[in-house]
Amino acid sequence: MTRFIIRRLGEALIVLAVMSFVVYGLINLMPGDPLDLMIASNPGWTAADITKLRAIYGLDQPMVVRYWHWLTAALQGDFGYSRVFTLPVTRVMGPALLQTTKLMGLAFLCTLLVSLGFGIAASLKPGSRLDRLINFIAFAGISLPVFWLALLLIFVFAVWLGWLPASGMGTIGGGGGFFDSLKYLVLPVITLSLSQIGNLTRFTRASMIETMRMDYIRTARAKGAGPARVVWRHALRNALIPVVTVLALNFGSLFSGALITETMFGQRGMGKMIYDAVLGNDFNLALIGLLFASLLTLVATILADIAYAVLDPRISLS
Amino acid sequence: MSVVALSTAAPPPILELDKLEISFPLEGGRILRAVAGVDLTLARGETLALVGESGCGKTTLGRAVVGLYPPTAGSIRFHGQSGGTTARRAIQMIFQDPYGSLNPRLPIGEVIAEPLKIHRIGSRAERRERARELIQQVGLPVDALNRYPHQFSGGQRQRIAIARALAPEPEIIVADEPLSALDVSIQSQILNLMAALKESRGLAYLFISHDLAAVHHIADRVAVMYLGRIVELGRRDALFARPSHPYTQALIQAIPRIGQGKRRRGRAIAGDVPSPLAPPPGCAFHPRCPKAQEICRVERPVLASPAGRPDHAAACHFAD
Amino acid sequence: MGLAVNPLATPSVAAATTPLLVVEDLSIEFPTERGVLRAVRGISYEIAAGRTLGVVGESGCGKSMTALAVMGLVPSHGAVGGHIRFMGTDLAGLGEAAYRRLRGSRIAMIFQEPMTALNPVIPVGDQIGEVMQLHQGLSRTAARKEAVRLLDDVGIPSPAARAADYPHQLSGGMRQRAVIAMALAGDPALLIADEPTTALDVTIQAQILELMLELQDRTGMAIQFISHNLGVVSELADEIIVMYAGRVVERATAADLFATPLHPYTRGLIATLPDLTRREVRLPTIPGGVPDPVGGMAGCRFADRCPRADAGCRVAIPPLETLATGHSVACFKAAA
Repeated sequence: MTRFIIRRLGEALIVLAVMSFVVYGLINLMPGDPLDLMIASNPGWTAADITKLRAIYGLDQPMVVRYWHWLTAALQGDFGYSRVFTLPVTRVMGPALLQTTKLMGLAFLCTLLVSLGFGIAASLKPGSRLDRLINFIAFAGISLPVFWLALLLIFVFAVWLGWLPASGMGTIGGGGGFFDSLKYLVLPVITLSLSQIGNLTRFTRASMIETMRMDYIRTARAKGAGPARVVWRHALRNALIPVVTVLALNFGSLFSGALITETMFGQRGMGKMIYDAVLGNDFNLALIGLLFASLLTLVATILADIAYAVLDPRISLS
Repeated sequence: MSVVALSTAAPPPILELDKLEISFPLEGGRILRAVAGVDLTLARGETLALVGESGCGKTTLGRAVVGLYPPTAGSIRFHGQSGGTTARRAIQMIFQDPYGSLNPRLPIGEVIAEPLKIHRIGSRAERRERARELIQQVGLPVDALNRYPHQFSGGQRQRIAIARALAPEPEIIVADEPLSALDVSIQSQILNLMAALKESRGLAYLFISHDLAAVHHIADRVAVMYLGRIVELGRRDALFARPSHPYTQALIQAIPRIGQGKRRRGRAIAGDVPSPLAPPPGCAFHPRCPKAQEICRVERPVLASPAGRPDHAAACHFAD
Repeated sequence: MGLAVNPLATPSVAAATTPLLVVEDLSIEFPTERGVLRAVRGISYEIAAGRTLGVVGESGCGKSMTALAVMGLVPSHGAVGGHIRFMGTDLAGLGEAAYRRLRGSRIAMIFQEPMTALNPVIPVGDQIGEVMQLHQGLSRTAARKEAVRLLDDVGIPSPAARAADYPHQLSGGMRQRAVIAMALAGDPALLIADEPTTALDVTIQAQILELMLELQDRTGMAIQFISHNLGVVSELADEIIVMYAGRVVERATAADLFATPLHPYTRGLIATLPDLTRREVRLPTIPGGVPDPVGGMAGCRFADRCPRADAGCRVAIPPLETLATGHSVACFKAAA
């Protein structure tokens, strides 16, 4: 198992290295330049000034050389300076990462619990009214566009009922504390979860139905096991095997896909940060942000494989 | 070369397996030797049964004869030649699972005519005519040609599979457990059909089965396989009346008999079939053999005629 | 039923003299799109304590469904009629909780495919131990110890190591032995075995059959052994019932059935088996196939395939009649 993890982490690092070069190149291909903002706000500069400025920032050198500078610095822990926010990258990313983690973490947990609950409940009596209701909710979740849902929730709960704040991360002026920030997370978490819940519920339901048809379930009943024991001890772990794999893979995409939600709810998370950085030609920030997203996906894949092997003794990792 | 084929009265073989080995590489550098050195011949019109339990390699051997697996070592020669397209047409196969071996999307007429299409035999009209002939020869009505596999029972599907195998006028049919998925009362119908076709067309069969009773009915010669090798080979009557190898004896002992009262204890041999990945040293059967001696652990016996039985062969140091 | 004591735990005096299992006029039907599927059409049989009943028949005859009915495991959309009495108690009247106390303890069942009968993610020892946790209230560790002992009883070498293994690590024969150990864990009075050796190699099948006979000697349990293989049934059973299309067509002791089979179907089945002592050019066959279980058919359901059938056979269903010898047959044209 340890050898497996080490090998996969090694592979992940190689992927990251390649990705860093590719992303760097792609951002570089985009029109515009980190200096554009400065040039726009300083109309008095001459062409000579601009050339000098480029030389100072090293922007006149070929891309590969610039990439190399970046790489060597990054490997020593210096991720550079964010031009858009005029702060070191780490100082910008820190709070964004924290906010996203809160949002993602809660959304993931919420998705997990609700999907499993719904999926199992629906599978126990296929075709029943409960099953049909759950299926309907699932399809709704899959079909609704995220931004529309966000708007709807804001309208109902913030504007109309006034129960929850419409956007933002905490009460302005600070002093809100932990529970206050939780209030601001409710609507974004629901928005993010709903789209995921649809898919995962149906997947869980299908997997459970398939599992309950297996011969070993019949054996468990023949031994005198009651329905609760049959579901929790015998069926669930088998049914979860494919579900966990999908869950882990979803996790990676949860991260970067939350852009719309973050924007709608004014959450200054990683999604918004990367978006702003790319549009602003902020090489350093965009690069680090995107690489982080890739890293998360890679780690999620590794975790999926491990989870799969842990749950199913027939799979060996060698 | 097989000892048994050297008898002067025997017709020349149309199929020869010479030191055939089929191995599959696995993860981690291991090798699965499914067939570990087999010499066998098959004459025109002869039914050779290949008998054995799980892991003995009989299915792999059958598939290799049909051309599905290339030999890892040794050769398979049909009319003296290895490979070639004549063998692909002239050696056809019937599979164990009548439900899985027919394409559910093709109507029966096309299922039967497909081998002709693949080998480019006949025009479309001729192929249709041939399908008509064949479906009747296997005892099904002509209107079956327009129906689909799911509309037929297991036994009927096996008949269709036989018709398909007959389409390109093969010389050899490899039948891999053709009866095991069928009900008992249907098995005898299919056996009779196969026997009748053999008579009328001079077909040779390589009949692979674990069912010794069915083998007894249809086979001319029987080869018993264990862990990738042949351990006994002989004429049907001789093998059943006086089995020479302890494994054959155990197999015959194990067959449940009718009307003899409750089973007597102690007749079954102990132990499981070892994994083909880790065959025991010396004679592969020695851990389970009631006659095993020191030499059996050390030296693998070769297939040879036991004393006084020139038409028979067994791979045992203590063959009867 | 509100009794605190399980009425089946202490057999009454009556149970000591009545047969262990009495099945009376059992019928099982399922609604389908094409009509009512009658899997079992009114069958009756008995098993005495310590005896083995063989149930012979081909696909669609209802033999497996009958076993499921005794276990109370018929799928919920099926309608079960008739009576099943186990140790004097009518099982139809049992609530689900009481039935569960029976299953796995007093009545145990093993199925055909050992590959899929065991849960792939739970170690074998725990699956066997579960029976004792459920019915004897043992702790998991105590149950595991008992499981090792049971694995030893069924002839598995290195039982402690095998108990920690997962099912995919055992061979087919060992898996079936483990399944048998699991069935025995509750000390059953009746073991129902549905084609337990069909998926096994013939030498392993012989081992398992001998094991079952030995275990029966030791525990005194009764066995209901279901199979399509006449040979296997012959070597195990005291009495045999032959089923066809949902009905019992013949019932006799094993000796009588093979010495003088009376029903044409039984005779046909015996005749179609290739015999190792004889050489025939053409095997006798039973033409045609098993009838569609959906829908009824007037008269005997074997008539279309029967060499002796006449007009009378197609009008009325022959009842199961018992001759002086105790041999029963449902046929108007049974051989004398």
